[in-house]
Amino acid sequence: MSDPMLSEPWRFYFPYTRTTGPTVGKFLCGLRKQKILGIRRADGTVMVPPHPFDPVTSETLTEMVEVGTEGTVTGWTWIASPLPKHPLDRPFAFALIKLDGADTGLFHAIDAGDESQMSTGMRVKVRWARNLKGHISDIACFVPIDAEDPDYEPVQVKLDKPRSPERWRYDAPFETHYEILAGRSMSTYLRGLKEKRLIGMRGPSGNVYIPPHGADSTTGLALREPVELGQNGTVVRYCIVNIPIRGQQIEIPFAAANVLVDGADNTLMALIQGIPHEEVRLGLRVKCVWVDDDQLALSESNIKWFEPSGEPDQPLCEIESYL
Amino acid sequence: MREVAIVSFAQRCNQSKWREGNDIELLIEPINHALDAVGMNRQEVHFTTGGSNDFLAGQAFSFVRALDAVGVHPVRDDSHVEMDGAWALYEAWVNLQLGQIDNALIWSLGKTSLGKMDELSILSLDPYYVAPLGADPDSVAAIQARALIDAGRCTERELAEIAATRQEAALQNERVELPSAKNADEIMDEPYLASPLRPSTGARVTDGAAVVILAAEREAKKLCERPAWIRGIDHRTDAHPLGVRNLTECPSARLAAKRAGALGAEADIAELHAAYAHEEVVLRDAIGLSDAVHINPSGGPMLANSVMAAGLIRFGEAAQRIIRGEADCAIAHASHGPCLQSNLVALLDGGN
Repeated sequence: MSDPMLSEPWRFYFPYTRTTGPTVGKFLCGLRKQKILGIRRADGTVMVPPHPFDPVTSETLTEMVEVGTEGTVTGWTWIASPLPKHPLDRPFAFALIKLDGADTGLFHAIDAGDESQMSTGMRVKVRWARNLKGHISDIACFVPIDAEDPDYEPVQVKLDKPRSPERWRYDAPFETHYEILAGRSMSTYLRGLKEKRLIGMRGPSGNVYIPPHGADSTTGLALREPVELGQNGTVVRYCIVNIPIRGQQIEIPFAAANVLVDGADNTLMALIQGIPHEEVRLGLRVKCVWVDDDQLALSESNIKWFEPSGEPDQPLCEIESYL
Repeated sequence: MREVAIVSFAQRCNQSKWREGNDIELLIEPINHALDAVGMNRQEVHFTTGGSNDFLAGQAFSFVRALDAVGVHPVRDDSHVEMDGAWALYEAWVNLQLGQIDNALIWSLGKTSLGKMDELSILSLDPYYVAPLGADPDSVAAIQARALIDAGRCTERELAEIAATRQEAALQNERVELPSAKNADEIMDEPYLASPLRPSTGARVTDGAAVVILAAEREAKKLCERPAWIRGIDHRTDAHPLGVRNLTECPSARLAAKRAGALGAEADIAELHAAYAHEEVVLRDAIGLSDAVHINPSGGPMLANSVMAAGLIRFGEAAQRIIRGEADCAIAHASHGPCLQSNLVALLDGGN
């Protein structure tokens, strides 16, 4: 197996919607009105941004108080090369800022132009975003106290639906990218599929696995020996799918089965076609049906489905351990 | 309390990109090595648990697949924590205290090269106030480093000296990929990563995997001539919001160390999960380490930050020195969360 490992770019997308609860909701809705709210802790100090609980004592907190839009830098770092997810695309500082009237630091960005402008204890003020949405980014960033005002008036973005601060929510999608590695065994298997061959791997237990994931799951030891399997197999478990799935190409109801491919010791998940779904049964002999040659890829989608091979059913006593 | 010890440890080389296999294949070898070292096979393991993270793997329930490498026959109790493997070790220790099992295998996968750590780490931060700003781990750590410098607790030069010392030590560790070490002058010449941190005083993420075997009492003595006995172990957490914490202190590490009996202990070595140079400064004071304690003789996690495994590796590295007779008493520490938010501390020794 001197061939390079198969890998593939992989996009991960989480379409999160955040519900904030009343305390965070009031703070974010305050930002829409260019007001910054904190919350009073049991010792009388004011925490900004507010949480509905005291992060140190766990007490419930309720009394929200307005604080200033100017403050003092209590900690910072200069980011010379901003990353794609950073709030500014030019060098800036991340900082903790103690707003006037607050006793804790708010984490945010400072647009100071150059690192030489930064110091602990420096005074800064809020730079409101052009569009106020009820989100932490309504504070576009902080700027040095003597910075000039922007050339725009911030405007409140109209809401699709009126929503109270208590029931505040917003979309917070997150996207990131991976390079997924198939692994040694899986690369062998996928290369086989491209040639319309079913290649499993034998482990130290003697069992042959398809698809092989890398380890002999019985013993935990590495799979090393590729084994070419037959193209036929036996249905050892099945179900009839009646629920539509997003992106599903096949009409429901249809049969999905675990097929024990000839020569393998574990089963392959496959669609069963070429037979009315109500006639699919345990012991049914099936054969692999491939996509057209011009569609062959390094992919499990090369297997269209399994369909009856015409052989007589395998007696159930021979496949008992799989049932 | 039952006496429980680390009897075996194995890890893969912590390197920038491990491209020879998938996660399962990454784990098989250290499991083999850890078991071979104490003459065990997978069938003799009573309990398995691991620490890993689906966001690193890029797939849901990725730890279920790791079971393939652990082996599933005979059927046994298995668990998993979505945390550094050191917390899986803690879970196994608790399970051993219950008395139903006599040994446990703990695995940890830290494969960072598949995705983008600077982006994935954002998901571990406050989702309303911090994550939307794209705060990456280096930036968050740098704010703590600045706080220490502002408070006069260290200088940039001292951070460079800590990093240089760890690089020197890591050169001797075949399980850390490092062709050559930099001295403090060279480190001071590096451009900032996120000021005041430079690439060498910051964390270098790597791909790694680690396995620890724990055993109780007679089983431990049977498996290992000189087990590293866990004399105390505890974990504690500080508040999550950075702005409410005094970042120059680490009360959770201090309390965990106190409860583990490690506070100010006269240990030979301490393996600290300090992925950034300044985190050593915080932890040294929090755990009360005297100058006599040799910190991170393995080189530590700054050059080998195999995220989710680096904490378990601290436990393994500390125990290994006791098992080999190079140390009598060691402190092992693991951390989790921004600016050392959560801390797990154990005191290990080689006595009976």
